[in-house]
Amino acid sequence: MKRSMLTLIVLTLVLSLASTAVLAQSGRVAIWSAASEEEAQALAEEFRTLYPNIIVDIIRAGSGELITRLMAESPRPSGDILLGIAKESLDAVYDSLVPYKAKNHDEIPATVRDNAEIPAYYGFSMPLQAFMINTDLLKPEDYPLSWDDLTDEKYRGEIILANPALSGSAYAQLYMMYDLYGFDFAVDVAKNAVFTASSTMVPESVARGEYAIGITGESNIAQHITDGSPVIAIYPEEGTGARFDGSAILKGGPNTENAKLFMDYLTSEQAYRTIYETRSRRVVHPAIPGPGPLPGLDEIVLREYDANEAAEIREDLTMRFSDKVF
Amino acid sequence: MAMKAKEEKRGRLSRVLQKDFTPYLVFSIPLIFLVIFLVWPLLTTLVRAFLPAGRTFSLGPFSLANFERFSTSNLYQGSLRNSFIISFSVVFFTLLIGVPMGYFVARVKMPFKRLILSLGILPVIMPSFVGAFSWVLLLGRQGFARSYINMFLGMFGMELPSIYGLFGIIFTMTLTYYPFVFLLSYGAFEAVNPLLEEAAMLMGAKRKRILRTITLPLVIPSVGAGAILVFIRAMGNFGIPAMLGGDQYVLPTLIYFRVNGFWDINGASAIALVSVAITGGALLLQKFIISKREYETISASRSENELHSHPVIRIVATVYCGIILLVSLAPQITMFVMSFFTRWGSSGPEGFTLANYTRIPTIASRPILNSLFLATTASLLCAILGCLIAYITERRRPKGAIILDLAIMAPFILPGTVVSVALISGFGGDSWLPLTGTFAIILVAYVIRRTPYVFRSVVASLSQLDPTLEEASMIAGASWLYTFRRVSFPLILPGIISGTILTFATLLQELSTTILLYSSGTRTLPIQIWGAVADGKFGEASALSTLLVLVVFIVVYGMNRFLGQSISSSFKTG
Repeated sequence: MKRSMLTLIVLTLVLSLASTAVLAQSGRVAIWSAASEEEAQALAEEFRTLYPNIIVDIIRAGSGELITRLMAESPRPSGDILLGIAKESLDAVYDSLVPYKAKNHDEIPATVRDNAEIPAYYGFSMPLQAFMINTDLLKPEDYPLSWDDLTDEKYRGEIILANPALSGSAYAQLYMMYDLYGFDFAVDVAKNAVFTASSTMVPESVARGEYAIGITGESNIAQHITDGSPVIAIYPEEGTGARFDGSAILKGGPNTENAKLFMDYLTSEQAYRTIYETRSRRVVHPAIPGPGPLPGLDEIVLREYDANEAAEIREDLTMRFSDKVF
Repeated sequence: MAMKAKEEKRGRLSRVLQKDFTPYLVFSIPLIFLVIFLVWPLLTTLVRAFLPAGRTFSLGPFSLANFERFSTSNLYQGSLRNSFIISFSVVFFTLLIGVPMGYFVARVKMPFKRLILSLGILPVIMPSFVGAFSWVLLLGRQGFARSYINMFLGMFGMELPSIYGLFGIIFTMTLTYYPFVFLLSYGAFEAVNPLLEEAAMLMGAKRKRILRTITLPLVIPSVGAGAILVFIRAMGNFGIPAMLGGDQYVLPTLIYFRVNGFWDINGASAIALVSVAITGGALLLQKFIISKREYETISASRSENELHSHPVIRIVATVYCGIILLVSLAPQITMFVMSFFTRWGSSGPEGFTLANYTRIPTIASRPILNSLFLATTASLLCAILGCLIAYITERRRPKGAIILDLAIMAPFILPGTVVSVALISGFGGDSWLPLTGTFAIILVAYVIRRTPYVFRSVVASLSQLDPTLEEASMIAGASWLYTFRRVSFPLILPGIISGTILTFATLLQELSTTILLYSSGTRTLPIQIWGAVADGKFGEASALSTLLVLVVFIVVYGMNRFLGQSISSSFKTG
């Protein structure tokens, strides 16, 4: 009798535990993605094979729009996960994120996650900024090899950059120049450059030969090399900033429990491999090499990138720069 | 005595009961909608403009800090200057191109008129970021057409200026927005009472003189209406300067940069207010120019205009319209070609494929259905709302009709981002009416931002319509509803339809509002196109855009056939 009673209790407990587990594994999760359509789709599909009962909704927009959405909809955002947003932007909305220690916490190097005890975000990829050179337009001896080379007068009107006020990666480039040689140096580079508001236009223009030099995320360059465009990537001698973008759980979202499952998945080697394979991104997982046609991290000079300072002076620096240049 | 009093009382009661309340009932619906959904975004924007950056929404303390930037910052001054230069130049050039084209199509005997009129609206409906990108492919430094044009210009020692910068922005906007002037002036040239011209001719006036002293003055209201629409659109366009004017800011890119770069809604509101003020000024200027004279364009008895049939003018007109259409549709043609290729390399399109089209059902069937549903529903709502409000302001002329008029026009001028943010913060998850993520919030945004098309159009139709017709019906004993249904409505129907079609066409490409409001269930086709462009998949973006343009073309062409006349009929801002 006693024994059967005990069995019953254990059984109920197990069942209820199992049912809560089942409960947590159904419903929806809403991903706000600044990563490309393919990447978000690939991740969602793989997540679906792990949790077939969870429906993944994807909202695709630029990181600026996603942050705007978050601010406008807070404290009750309609999304659960921010995907592929620059670290400095995540820092700017730090209070709207849920700290969560993911299952694979220890596999992610401390340099590419939030350094709080329980991190608010984990790294997604390293959008290293590099020079994209059109080899039809420049002879090898004319390639710019360093940030400093960019001020050379022979490049006047040959460099295309994205507007640092409108694009996160372009701001990172501006901050690197500022950090390296100061404000006036950045203005000198700007004298040689043409600006576009859309950061996609930079790799597109260089690939088509509109401009000889562009500064852009290395994965864009890899994509165009793979497509057969006459372009190469050059990493500046002084170093390119070791930045990363990351993913986070949104505070007040409708499906926070599922968001945690998604975060566990997102920080797994499997997910990083998927991102790596979909669009030649350099992901933050140490077991995965650099993307296809690009060099490994051991061949690239990295410079420390102080994302906190970058975020702090962002408004001031872009306004000063915009006032001076535009 | 007592009986008399009782009778009098009954009489008063029956008078009250006899009074027709239907109009009040009908009018209260749009007014309630306006109070809830229009006044809120406008008020928050107005209040926020006077709050310092970073302050949440509150009633004070107010400051002018957001506006001071216009006197201290080069960037702000430059943006303001650029917006001025661009808007006025675009108005000037669209008039230069559009008015002769309208005249030719209305007054010269030439083939394919209906086709020209239908093709004429296509430049407006292309998502502007796709259009600007196509121009880069054509006229950029490696542009396909650039070398040919330079070869030609080289003979005169000239060179085509860079597509990046003010020249490119003005050029692209002119070719995008001239249809407003073309279609409206076409409608006006059609509507000019031919008796006036005939009278002048009988008195011995030459053609040129008639054109200068009679025809042109008569079409000025319509041309003015077209000009103001162009001005508002040019002032508010984000996509073209974003793509082509990297180091040339304009007010919309500045607003974008304040909102999406720094989450400075207050600063953005202040800039938006400045652009609303400028547009308001332009509106007043236009009213002032037009209202200096009395016009008669439509009379009860109509006789057909005599068409020019001299071979020289026929050839000139046909060639002129052909060239303008060819040049302004160059982006659509480029896009169509691009939709069959995987990429656009340095020497042109590469890698022929049909995959961009065969992929559409799997990647975009839901967005296509959503777009059609949203655009259709919102257009119908705009039609009802715009029509009723136009009727109120025109026929009832309540006190403060001007305020109502401006309130309707304002969201049209306000940037989409600012309207969306106001809507999200007013109708978010915590509010009394949570709408985030629903079709409803997108519909609301579409309706308040696009009603002006129908509103303007119906106001113009009503102002040309003599109220005596309606009065006659009422005197004959018809109720208000019957009069509206059987007399007013049929007469203003062309105005309603033309406004609704423009609404539908422009809603199908709406991006700036939708991108902040859509949820996974309400994703639209322009969002899909934008995503493809952002991912560098121009083939896919082109195929989707081609589909979009095709849908609008079929609708517009069908309507043109159905109505037997242009959709332009009237837009006067009189």
